[in-house]
Amino acid sequence: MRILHQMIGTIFKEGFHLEKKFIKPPVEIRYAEELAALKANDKGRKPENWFLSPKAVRTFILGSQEPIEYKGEQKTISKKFFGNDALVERCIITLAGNRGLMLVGEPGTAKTMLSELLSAAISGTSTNTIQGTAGTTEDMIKYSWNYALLLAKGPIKEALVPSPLYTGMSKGIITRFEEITRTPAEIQDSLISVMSDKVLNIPELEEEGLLFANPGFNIIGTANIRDKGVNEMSSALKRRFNFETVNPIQNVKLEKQIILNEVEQSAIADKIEMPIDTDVAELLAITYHELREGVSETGVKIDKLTAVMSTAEAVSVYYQTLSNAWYYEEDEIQLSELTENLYNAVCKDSRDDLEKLRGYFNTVVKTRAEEVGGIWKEFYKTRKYLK
Amino acid sequence: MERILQNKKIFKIIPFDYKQPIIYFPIRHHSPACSFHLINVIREYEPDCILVEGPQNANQLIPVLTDEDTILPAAFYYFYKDTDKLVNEEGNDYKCYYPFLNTSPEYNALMEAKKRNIESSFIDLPYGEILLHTAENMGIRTKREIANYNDDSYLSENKIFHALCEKTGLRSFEEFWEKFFEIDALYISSEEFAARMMSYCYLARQNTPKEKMQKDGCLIREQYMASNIREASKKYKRILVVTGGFHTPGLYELLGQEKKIPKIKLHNFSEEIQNVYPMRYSLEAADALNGYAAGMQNPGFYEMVWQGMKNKSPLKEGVSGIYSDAVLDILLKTAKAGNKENVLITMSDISSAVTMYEGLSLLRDKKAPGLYELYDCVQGCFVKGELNAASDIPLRILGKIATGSKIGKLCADAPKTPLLINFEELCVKYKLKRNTILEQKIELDIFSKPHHLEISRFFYQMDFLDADFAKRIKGADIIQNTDRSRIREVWSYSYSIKTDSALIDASAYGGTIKEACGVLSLKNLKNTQKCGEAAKLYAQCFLMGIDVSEEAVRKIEDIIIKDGDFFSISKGIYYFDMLDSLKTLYHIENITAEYFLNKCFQKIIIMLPSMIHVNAEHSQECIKICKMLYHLASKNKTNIEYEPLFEAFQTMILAKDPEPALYGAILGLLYGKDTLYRTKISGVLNGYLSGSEEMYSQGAVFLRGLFSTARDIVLVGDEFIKMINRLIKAFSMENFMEILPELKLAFSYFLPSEIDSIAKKAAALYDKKAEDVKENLELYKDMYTTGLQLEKEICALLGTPQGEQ
Repeated sequence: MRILHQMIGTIFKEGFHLEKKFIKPPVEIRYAEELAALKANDKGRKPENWFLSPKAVRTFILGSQEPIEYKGEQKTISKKFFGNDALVERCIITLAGNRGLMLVGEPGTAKTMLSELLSAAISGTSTNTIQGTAGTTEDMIKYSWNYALLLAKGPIKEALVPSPLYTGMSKGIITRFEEITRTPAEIQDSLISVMSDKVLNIPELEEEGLLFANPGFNIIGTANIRDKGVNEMSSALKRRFNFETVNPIQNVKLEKQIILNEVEQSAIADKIEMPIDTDVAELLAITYHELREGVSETGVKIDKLTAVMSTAEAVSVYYQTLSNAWYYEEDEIQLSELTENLYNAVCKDSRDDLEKLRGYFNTVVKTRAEEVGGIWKEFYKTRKYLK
Repeated sequence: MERILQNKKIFKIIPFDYKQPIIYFPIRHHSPACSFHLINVIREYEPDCILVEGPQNANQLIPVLTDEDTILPAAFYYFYKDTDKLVNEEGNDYKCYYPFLNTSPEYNALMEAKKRNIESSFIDLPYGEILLHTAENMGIRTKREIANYNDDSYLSENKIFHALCEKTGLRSFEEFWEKFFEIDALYISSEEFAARMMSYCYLARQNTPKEKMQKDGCLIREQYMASNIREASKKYKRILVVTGGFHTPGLYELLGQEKKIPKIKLHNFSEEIQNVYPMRYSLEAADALNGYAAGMQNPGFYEMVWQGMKNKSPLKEGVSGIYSDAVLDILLKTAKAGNKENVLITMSDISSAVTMYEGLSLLRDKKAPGLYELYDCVQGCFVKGELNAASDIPLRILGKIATGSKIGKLCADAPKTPLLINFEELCVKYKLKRNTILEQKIELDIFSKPHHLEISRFFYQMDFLDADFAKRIKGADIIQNTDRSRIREVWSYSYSIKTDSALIDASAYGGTIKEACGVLSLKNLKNTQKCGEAAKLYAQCFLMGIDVSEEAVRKIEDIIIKDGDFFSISKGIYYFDMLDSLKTLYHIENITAEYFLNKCFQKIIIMLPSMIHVNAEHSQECIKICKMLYHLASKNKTNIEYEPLFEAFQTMILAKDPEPALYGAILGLLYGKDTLYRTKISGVLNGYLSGSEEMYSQGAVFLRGLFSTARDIVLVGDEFIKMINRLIKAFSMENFMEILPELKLAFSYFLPSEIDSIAKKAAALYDKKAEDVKENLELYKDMYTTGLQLEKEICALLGTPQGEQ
């Protein structure tokens, strides 16, 4: 973690390009130049300890139409979160206040990405994260001990192993708590006093045992509404958060654009040099949109699937198909493989979804194949892979 | 953005100069900012005449609108009856509203004129004339639930502003408008504001095709307004013209030319054809979210802002706080109302919400928080958990509060139709609240309390006039034949703008609501040729407590004689029989229902024999009617006798190729009267059994009809069980599967205990016990509930009451 922070600090100070060394670089590295450019041009009022002002954070996430000047060059800030600008604005203002931010929504609606973007823009780092699981314990949330040191020297500060929450409070940065509702309710509740009083009590350290949060500290939680009822949050904890519901993207055009952008980024990172087919992206965006909404563009009712039909899933289906074509040295992306990948993605939870998917092919895709032809005709031919 | 909206070039094209003899002030309807600057301009310019956009035929109502006792919202209600078919061949009635709120610039212009004792008038074409010059489905002829005279769609649906919204990151035209025209307006001079409006409207006009303006009557209206302005300019030296901003460039262009403006010849419509009335209006109806095309969203919020402007005259004390105060006020009201509805909203939530709306306004470069920041902070801080229909209560409460529930009141001198006066009197008499849009509930014990029966009749009358005032929630439904066993009625009622307008519309039919309903029902009756429809109208009159006139009696009699539709006559019988039996309960004297019932009965007896060849689709309905006639004859009513009916039944069974189900049902009815028909029935069933497979199928259909009227025939002896056994055995598997639904339907008429008895006899034929042949399928609660729900939905789709086949 410390090494990573040093690297990020160097990027902001010196602006050099870091050779890719990560499978998935954190946001602050991926968009290091944009962050540096915004920081250099940021004249807005900032809450204490914030890396960027709220206005610059907004620009970082929602993009700017006019380029900004940085080191003698015009730098365009790209839009990174699509669908609901007002939601992003509310998130920023929430984090500037006393309350935590809880992002809830269907899986694959970019909640995690939004929390990473917010953390990177506000605190300069998005990696100070607690991953909520059924096995998360209070130690993992608050602090634990280096037992060798503890046994040798007793409970001293050096023996304390800080958790991401501890780090967030001491450094005045955002702590991200992923999938908070996967964590047992009594463990979740250990956040209550931290969020109310902004203080963490470490009784073992006696007089030195109070950690007061530095300005800039806050918590961004994410929760999946499919986990609802697993570990319901207590109302006491709910009161300490402002909730934002992140919905799937409603606009097919936008969804297509996201598929294209995301697949392109991943392809560059993995050195896959194959062109991205916009028609296939559109086909996938329409298919996902219709299966998610349960109605076709022409108003035909479709059985809704129980599987998660998120944009992230669509990106994954496309990227898998693209990788397949690249590594097996095919000339272009194969629709039959796309359908197979779609089938694998859809039929994870329930076999009933296969019937529903077949129904979709036999009604909507068939009609479109007859009326529009082209790629839809080819897509319809691949229905035989739905076995 | 401010640069675009402060386009100096446009200001040169349409100057705003207090030295000019005519000043054009562009407005958006119901905008507090426009009202605020308009009043400033009037103070500065000191006009000697103010001309306002609005149909000219309402000029005589200006004193009513500006009377100090009139409380807004109020509206002018225009109607035009196209009896001469000038609009189109359909000859429809047209109506529309022109609402005024405290925030309306038009209203404030007229009030200022009154204060200054200067001339003011409307300058637009009368309503009927606008209709005549508008193409179908365009402008004022666009089909909407609530038709309005004014419409801001030119400003809000323009493509240029969609682009501007996208560029500025604002969610909608309304948010764009609020940021740049409502909030910003408080921080700029009136001249700057006029320039900004002018730029905006000029751009909107530039992006609107001339053909569209031509078709929706915009251009001809401007021509008429321009000629009125020119006429006024001959008499007055300082004229202020207040019109929707979209018209300002058009008017300026027309009047800037030295050319003569062609006169538009008006029709000389009588008051019965075209007229206008003042009426109360509600903030709820004036909300853009409720489909009012010229409205601003949540008018209650902007009324509060306007009140702030008036209390805190910006010229003297500065403008800061006007919006923040309104936002905070509504936020606190929302929290209070939320807590009443058991949504826990704490002081911490409120304080967090305040931080949020202030922070958002800064982030969005707004000079003060507005409606959108208010919604955002309630969503972010008051909604706990996922936003869905169960958790969005705070947002719904906010919507209600921000829309407002106020209803206006007209001054004592306002012209009122006799029906409106009668309505008010009756509301007072029955102690009904007539000034609330909140739903009120009342339970009426109609059979034991005469006063309650009167209220019920009043509600039925209002419903008949389509006044959107009262709705029966519970109680017997005589028209649909449901819940007939209920002895109480529960009604909900509340005011809506349709209440007053429906009463104005119905004024032509009488001086009281009851009289109007009587005349209108007779009018409807004259347009009817079906006995069923006439009887339904008769039933409505019964519920409304209206005596049927001699003319109506003659008309119904005539309809019965001329109507040749068997099913329509049968509907008549249903209604007349029911009303005849309910007359004592409903305290209706001198009812002619029995007379009509006899007439219908005589007529249907003549028609009955020919129904034996009815197609299978209608046979079930025919069986139902035959059963109804049979029960009617059993009641021993005067003039309704068994004999003619049985003669008709006997004629029917003699016919060749009868419809099997109906044939079975008629034989069953005859068996009910005379058990000797048992032999005939077994003979017929044997006949079906000795034919081809097609005949076997008809045998199953015959059984369905027979069991619907005489199921006991199976339970006497085992002769019929054996015949049914033969019938079933005769089918091939394929044909059996085909006929199975028919057989299932046939046996559905039996009670569970009867099924047990049949099973026993059937089992005995094969030396088995009843338990061996009976399939005891357990019916789960979920299955039953799903079945009921399915039936309900199918009935709703088919439009038939539940329980009917």
